[in-house]
Amino acid sequence: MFESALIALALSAFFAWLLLWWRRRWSAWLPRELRHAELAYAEKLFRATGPIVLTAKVDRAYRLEGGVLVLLELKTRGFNRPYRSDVIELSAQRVAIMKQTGEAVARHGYVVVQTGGGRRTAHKVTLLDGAEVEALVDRRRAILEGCVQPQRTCAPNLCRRCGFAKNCTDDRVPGKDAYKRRTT
Amino acid sequence: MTQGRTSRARGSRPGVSASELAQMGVCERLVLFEHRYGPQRSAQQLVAMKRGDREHRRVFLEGRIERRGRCFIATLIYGEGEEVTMLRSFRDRVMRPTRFGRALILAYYRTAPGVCRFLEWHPFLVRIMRVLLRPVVWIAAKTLANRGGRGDV
Repeated sequence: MFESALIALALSAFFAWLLLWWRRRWSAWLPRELRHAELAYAEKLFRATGPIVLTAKVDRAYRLEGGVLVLLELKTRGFNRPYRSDVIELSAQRVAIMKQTGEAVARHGYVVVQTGGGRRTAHKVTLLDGAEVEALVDRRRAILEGCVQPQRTCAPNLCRRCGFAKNCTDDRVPGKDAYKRRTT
Repeated sequence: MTQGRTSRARGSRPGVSASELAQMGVCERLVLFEHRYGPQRSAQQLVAMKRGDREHRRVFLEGRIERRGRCFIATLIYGEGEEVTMLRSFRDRVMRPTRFGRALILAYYRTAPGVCRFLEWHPFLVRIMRVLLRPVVWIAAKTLANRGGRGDV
């Protein structure tokens, strides 16, 4: 009887330790702010219509107690840091959700970076506002139409790995005629 | 083919996706090149994209577990069946009225999603857990029967 109780106790302790270990391993990456928030959307597509048509697939959106949504984007990469492109993506998602559903979305979001070892780290980022996103959409359109000269990235590593590196060796860009027209 | 091209081909208002717009933060020239010639990915980039897709599916699965409700492990193991109803009833009628019971419920809510995530990736453990939980369900049923009623929530 005593032995059975001892085995049961040891098993309980082992399972409790296992639970805690897995909880630490799997849930530690989730920001404190979101741990008790409700997961409102996961992998859901939103579409904002109007002067600008913007579509965005949201990795996760959590609803806080006050009803405000907080966005979370997962990225797998070697460097454990968020980039400007992540901020733009989350900002576009924010605009799309707000326009489609009318719900309030926080001006901050989280970029969760998963590095090679499977470790996830959440980085809090401040998002662009609606006007900034619209300005970016306009600039993109102007670049594609050849009205604005596109900027080159300032990250040399990106250039080295870029599939278009050989097309991008001087200041000329595709649609150079349009560029020439503007400069002459 | 990019989404912008697709939209124009259909004659609708030009649209842009969040990920296309995000490219503006990477390199504006890349945006233009990809628009004109289509994306060109190296083998390394394709592997990274595949890995990203896999992890996204994984996070989506984890999200599904989070959204499934608050009787995590039992729901994962039995589905929305009689056993889960019994355990919920046991939780609400036997455990919740006592302080110790409430502490146990809270501890369960905090740890169960992690356990579920683990079980989701190890189906054989789900079968073992089903066997291990059987006496627990039986005890819950007996306790509720002694208190009167089968305990539908």
